[in-house]
Amino acid sequence: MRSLFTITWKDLRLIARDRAALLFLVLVPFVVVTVLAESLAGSDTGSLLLPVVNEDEGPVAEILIEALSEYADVVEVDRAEAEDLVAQDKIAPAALVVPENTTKRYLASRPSTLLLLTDPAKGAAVRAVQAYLLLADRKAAEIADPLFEQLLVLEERNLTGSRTSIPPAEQNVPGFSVMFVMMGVLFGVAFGLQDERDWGAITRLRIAPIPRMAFLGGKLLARFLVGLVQLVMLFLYGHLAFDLSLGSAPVALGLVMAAVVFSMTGFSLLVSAFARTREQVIPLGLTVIMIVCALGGCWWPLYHMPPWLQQVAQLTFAAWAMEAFHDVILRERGLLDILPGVGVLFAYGAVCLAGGARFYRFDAEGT
Amino acid sequence: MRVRCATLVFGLVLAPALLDAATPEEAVAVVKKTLAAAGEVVNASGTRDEKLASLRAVAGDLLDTRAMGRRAGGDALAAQPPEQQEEYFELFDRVIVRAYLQKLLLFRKPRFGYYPKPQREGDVVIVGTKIITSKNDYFVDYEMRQRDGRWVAIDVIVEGISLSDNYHAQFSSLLRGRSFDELLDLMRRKTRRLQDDPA
Repeated sequence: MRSLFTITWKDLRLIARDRAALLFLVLVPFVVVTVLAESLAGSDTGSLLLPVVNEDEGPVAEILIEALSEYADVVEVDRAEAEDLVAQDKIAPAALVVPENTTKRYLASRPSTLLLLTDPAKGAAVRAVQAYLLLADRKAAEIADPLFEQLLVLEERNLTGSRTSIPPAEQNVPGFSVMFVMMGVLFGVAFGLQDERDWGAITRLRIAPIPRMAFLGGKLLARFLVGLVQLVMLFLYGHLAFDLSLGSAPVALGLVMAAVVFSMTGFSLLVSAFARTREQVIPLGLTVIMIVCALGGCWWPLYHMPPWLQQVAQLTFAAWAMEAFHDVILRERGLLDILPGVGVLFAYGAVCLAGGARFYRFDAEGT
Repeated sequence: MRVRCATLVFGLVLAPALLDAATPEEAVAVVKKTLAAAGEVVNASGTRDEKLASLRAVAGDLLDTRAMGRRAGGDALAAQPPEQQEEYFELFDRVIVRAYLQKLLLFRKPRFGYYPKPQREGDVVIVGTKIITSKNDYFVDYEMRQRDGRWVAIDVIVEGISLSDNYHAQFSSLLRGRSFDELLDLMRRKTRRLQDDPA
């Protein structure tokens, strides 16, 4: 019995010795639970932005806007601004156009076609807007016909591509692919560097005429290539098994993949630089992966999250990665359109690489 | 002599009164009075249901829903037995008044304008009105005819489309594939739903 307690005490002291690992062990669940809870808090808050183009300027439009305001954050804008909010700024899943003379046509018992300009890349949010319109139509009893004629007809037009609906797989496959490739790259880089330390390779390399950056660069390039191949294979599998669209610009998709894995690789080096022991790699790596994936929209769309958290999400490369994939796959954008996003990903990776190289300790003292 | 006196009295007193009763201006006055009353109801406080109930009474005095129903039902209605026709008129009254009131209730603070000179077409006087909003005017014409010594609307033309003709088109389209009984059944269900869910 005494030996049992002795071994327990010894192990507890060992665990307590690595303060950083202990901190991560205790902190990880709290941080992840907080981030997940906050991320999902937005889905029920009715914070969807719904631009409305009121070309009617009559009571029918007023009643619709009033009814919709109970469910969404309605803003009255002109047509150009509405299209920008949906297609360019991508902050609204859809915009409603109430055409000119809707009230006059309603009064004359002639049907009018309301136009819903959508970004199907925001699939669930677009469906929410469609549901809001049904509710608003029902709620606005003033505009319900007493007999059987449907006076307000809804027509949907995709502003960002050729399709009006997106299967869930087209949001999920890229998200989970990013997550798994990130796991592979991050743990690969972190454990790879730890292994080199443990095996004494770094000490030997310091004596050999090989620049440190060449050593780091070589290891990272290998991980980058493995990650890229893994990502390509996952997308091909998604295409074959789940009919995942690969967009209409293969070069753009390839560039986005390269930029995403590059930013991942840089980020992995930065994280690895802060994990001084093997024990620290797993809790630190898992914490980072979970937070980045939750915030970055890998598990659920960003628009499900509260607006402030959507802003925070822009600090993660995953948010930029998912947006770039959505641009190519769901919004069918070409090379020129995705260059700004790709530029951000490369810059993100470069900054992380520089930071990682700066903080990474080649000597074994950190171990 | 007595006959001549009676004729003179009739000529001087009663005839102008009767002629006056038939002037288009009186039709305008009836529409104005009704819309003023409707405007008061809409602008007054109260729930939508309460307003609908008050407006129904106001509109009931103006609209000759039997004449409108006859026009909407057309030949198909004329071919039905009297008891079915009677039920149709009852149901149509509820539907058409509801349709008219819903259009009126669209406007939260309606302001009505009138065309000074009503048009006369035979025994029908068309009273032109408009609902004025800050952005637009919405035109509503009332086809007025005298019935039992008072002016009633035998049709309402909203933005150039007759309510009766609109329902006639809907009924004709429906009756192409269904029977008159089915039309009545549909109207029964719709009016029942309106009763259950007045808003």
